Amino acid sequence: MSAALEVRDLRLAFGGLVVTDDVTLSLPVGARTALIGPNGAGKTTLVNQICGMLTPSAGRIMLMGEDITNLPQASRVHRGLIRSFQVTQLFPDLTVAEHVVLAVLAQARKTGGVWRPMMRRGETRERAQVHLDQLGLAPIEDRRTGEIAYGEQRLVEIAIALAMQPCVLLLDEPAAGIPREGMELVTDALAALPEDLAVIMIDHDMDLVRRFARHVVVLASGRVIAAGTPAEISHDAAVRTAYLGT
Amino acid sequence: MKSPLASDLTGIAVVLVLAVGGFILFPDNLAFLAGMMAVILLVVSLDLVSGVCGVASLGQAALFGAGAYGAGIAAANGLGDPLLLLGIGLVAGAVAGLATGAIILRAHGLPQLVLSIALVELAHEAVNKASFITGGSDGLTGIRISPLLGVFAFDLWGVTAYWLSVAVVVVVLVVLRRLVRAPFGMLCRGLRQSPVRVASLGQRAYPVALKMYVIAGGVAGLGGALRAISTQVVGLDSVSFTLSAEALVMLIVGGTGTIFGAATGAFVFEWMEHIVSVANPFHWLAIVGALLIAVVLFAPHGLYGSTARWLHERRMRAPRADE
Repeated sequence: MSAALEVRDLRLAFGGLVVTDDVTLSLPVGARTALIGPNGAGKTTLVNQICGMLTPSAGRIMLMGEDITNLPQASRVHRGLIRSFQVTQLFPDLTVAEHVVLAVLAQARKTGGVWRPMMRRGETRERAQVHLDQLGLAPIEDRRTGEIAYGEQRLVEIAIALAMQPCVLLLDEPAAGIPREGMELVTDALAALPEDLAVIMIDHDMDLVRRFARHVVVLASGRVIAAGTPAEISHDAAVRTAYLGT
Repeated sequence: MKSPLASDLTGIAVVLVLAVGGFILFPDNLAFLAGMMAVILLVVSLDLVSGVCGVASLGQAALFGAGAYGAGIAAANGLGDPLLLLGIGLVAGAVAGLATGAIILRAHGLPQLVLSIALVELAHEAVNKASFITGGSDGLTGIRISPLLGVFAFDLWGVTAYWLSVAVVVVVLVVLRRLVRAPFGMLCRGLRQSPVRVASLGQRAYPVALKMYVIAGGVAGLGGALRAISTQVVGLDSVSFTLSAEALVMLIVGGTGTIFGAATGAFVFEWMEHIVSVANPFHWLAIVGALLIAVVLFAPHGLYGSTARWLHERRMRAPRADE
């Protein structure tokens, strides 16, 4: 069976500056992969290319065996390639529940309705409620996201991603800004992700990485410098050098 | 928490009370009030584009003018049924919205604003040049309107035009309030606030914004047709940059993104213009300017928008006060 996501020799250069340098990685179905590296390693840039926000200079991106390198972002989303953002990207005037309901409708390609109010669509509302409950967002579901704490906004990001029913999920620092008491909700949500879902997570929280990932890819200066289990990576000399400079 | 439906019903009730009050208290100003309602539709249409969708536009009068001239030319050529003329205005505005939106939406920010100005100026000049059909700078005359439903003739005092305008405005407000709460409306609101998030939901911004632009064109065209029907003359001012800019001022005064805010702004601005320009014909614009500054400084979300936010925050705080 083909990999859920496969990146082959991906390269992105802005003039002479190479920000992604022949990156190759493969995520099998059900993968739990962490993408780590020092600041400026090119992690988010790589994710932006995978999801279609940036166009690579060379290389291929395959999703479930299909070449999606030249597909626009919207087409990738409809094929189940979903991401969350390092810096929250929410609609400040919409409520928490409205975000998740909109995501459920977007996944079902039913965002074109012009008459029936969005929040009065019973079945859609129920599907959204599952994710709101799962992430502990139900008590604040009627609050506008512009009014809630940053940590809560991060949870809304994850709820939106889950509501989109991904086959490959790219989580860009999902725990950043979440207070200690909210971390349990995030780790529980990550642990409860469907087994057949391939997940790649960027995070600096090594404790979270160790608990979540079965496979770790280390990026530095746009290149993959190491890949393996968390235990292997923690003893890798190249990784130590990249992080500590020694 | 107050439901959106309750807000809508309250808003519509206020409009109806004002309409009945206006009819009773100002029987000599019905033509002015009917004209005000045409402008309300223009400002509401701008709200759909700018307030809901986040598209910068100073050319909305091009769509209003398309409806006014479409209906006016049809009426001057023997098609006098007012409901048919409203339909013609709606279609003309929507087609103009499709044509101009397809261009304007290619740009963003200031270039978008400049494109919208260029298009309304082009439309103004085109209408002026085509004087054989539009009447040019003399205005389009010879408009004959048949009685509404074959019964209610359009009289000199504007009674029929007034009630027709009230009915159209109420229907449009009801429809648009539903539209902005429907999935498509929510997506448009999202487009204004975070295009990046909209793209990550698998939605393409351009067709979404264009669809809303066409709907807004239809609403503006309806307003233009309403003005042609109620005044029975269409002038170049219907397709002017000045009218577009005034519409934007009205929208800011009332508040963006709520539909009712646009209606409030148009109502307050038109009413002030009517009262103040009579009291002081030379300096009334200074007073309007002062109002605008006061609104921006003290009610940055507009008169309606700031009030609605204040009520919302009060409701959100209420349960904590009880604890």
